[in-house]
Amino acid sequence: MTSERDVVVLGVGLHPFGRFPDRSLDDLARHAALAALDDAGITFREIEAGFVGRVGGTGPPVGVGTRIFSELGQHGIPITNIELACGSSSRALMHAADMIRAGSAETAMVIGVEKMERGMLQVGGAGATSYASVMGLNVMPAAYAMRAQRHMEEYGTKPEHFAQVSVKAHRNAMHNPYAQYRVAITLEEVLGSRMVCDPLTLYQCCPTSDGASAVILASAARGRRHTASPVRLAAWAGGSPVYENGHEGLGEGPTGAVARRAYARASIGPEDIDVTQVHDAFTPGEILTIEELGYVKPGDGGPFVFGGGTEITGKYPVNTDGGLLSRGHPMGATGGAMVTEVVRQLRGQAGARQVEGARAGLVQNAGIGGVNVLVLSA
Amino acid sequence: MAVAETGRRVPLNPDMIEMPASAGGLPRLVGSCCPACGARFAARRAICLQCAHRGIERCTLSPTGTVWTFTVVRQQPPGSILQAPYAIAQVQLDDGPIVAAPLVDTAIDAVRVGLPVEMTLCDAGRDADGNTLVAHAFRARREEEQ
Ligand SMILES: [Zn+2]
Repeated sequence: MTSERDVVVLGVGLHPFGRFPDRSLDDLARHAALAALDDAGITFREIEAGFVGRVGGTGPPVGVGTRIFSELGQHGIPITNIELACGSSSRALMHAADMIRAGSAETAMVIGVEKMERGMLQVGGAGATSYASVMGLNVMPAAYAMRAQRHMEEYGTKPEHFAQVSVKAHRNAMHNPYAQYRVAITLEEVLGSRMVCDPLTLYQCCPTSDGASAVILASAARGRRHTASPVRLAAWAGGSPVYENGHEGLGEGPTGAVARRAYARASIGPEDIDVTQVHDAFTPGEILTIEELGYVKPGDGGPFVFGGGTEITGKYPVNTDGGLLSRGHPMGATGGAMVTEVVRQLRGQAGARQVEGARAGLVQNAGIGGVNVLVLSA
Repeated sequence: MAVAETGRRVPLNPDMIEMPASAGGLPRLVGSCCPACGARFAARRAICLQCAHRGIERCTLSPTGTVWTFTVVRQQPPGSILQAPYAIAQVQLDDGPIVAAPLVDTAIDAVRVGLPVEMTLCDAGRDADGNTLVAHAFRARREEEQ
């Protein structure tokens, strides 16, 4: 069933997530890139295409990708910058995979990187002066909070269901040396932290972070030179909001439809997924997404999470590395970090966070106006 | 949130609201309507999302609707003229479109999904000529409060 043009993951690497005021964007990116090269056991000269996923806001806006790559080496490869807000590096990975599948490159490196300001995320970045910003409507936690309120109204989901997502994320991150927050918190502490946007309290919002991720993809033919059993990138699909029934899409996109497309391409179903990374920028992200991915019926997400269904030992382990909530969320780096965790899980390298016998994994990464689903298999 | 009684009232964003032509008239939300298929949109658009017709027209939208979903913003966002805590909502207008808006003149604890609301204006500062800038908002419908 495998073809020479199948896409495999040859190497992954991270710069720890957190706050690193003394390190530049280039420092973070280089650290992750070298870690991925070492993990793959190849030199930079063997990379045939480069992509950088980054959102920006502060620092140089133009040509960041080319500058970062030019410090790693200069052998004339095409370098492309990809921006899809918080979904930038997973979208970059999809385009890198397309290149390899098409035969226009045998290898590609995707670097995701970000240095962020402190404070509440705003659509369009801090200091946005749009009408929506002036009118107090331009608030990222509010977008998730409103989806949560609708879910509570339709299905009876409770505030403690959302809060439990954060409790589990923090517990998982304790075993992840790259995570920003490695401290356990209780349900009472999550619910008792300052209310930001009802029903979301402070500890249900991801931090702003600095960090970087790097993923090296290769054709199956090239991958065979370096490893006998690489993790396969089995399928990938992306989407954007859909106008239907007279309404413009309110979320990041049709996650359910995108996931079904990815399942079909990988010839698997949701019941086959052993480990999952979802976009939990805010706690509703996990509950709503596991429903859209088909793991549970619409409305069952809250009780499923509260009952431990997404714990490392649960039926569908989710965000085993702490997720955006606890690992951290340097926007451009997040998609690559999600893929990194799934790769480590499928290789059996996740240590205390290891999901026993994980054979198939899924990444769901969303940015404003776009969603990506990637399926990986051992 | 009360609007000043004196001085001219000018929309902060003329693409969002249309002021009444005569005294005593009501301000209206501005949207887009498709002359080909009748679809209505909360935002200004050039092309119809329903039928792809080019040449969509500016129109005014229903001033009443219900809260489709909401939240209370309790941390002050930078650059906002609203002072936290304040409620915001996705309001489903009676003629179809969903529009995001602040909820004013309404107790925060009274906001719920399905609450009937009506359009109002909120004060958004003053322009260089001293006119009062106004922006769109919604409030609980009066009969609802009794
Ligand atoms: Zn039309």
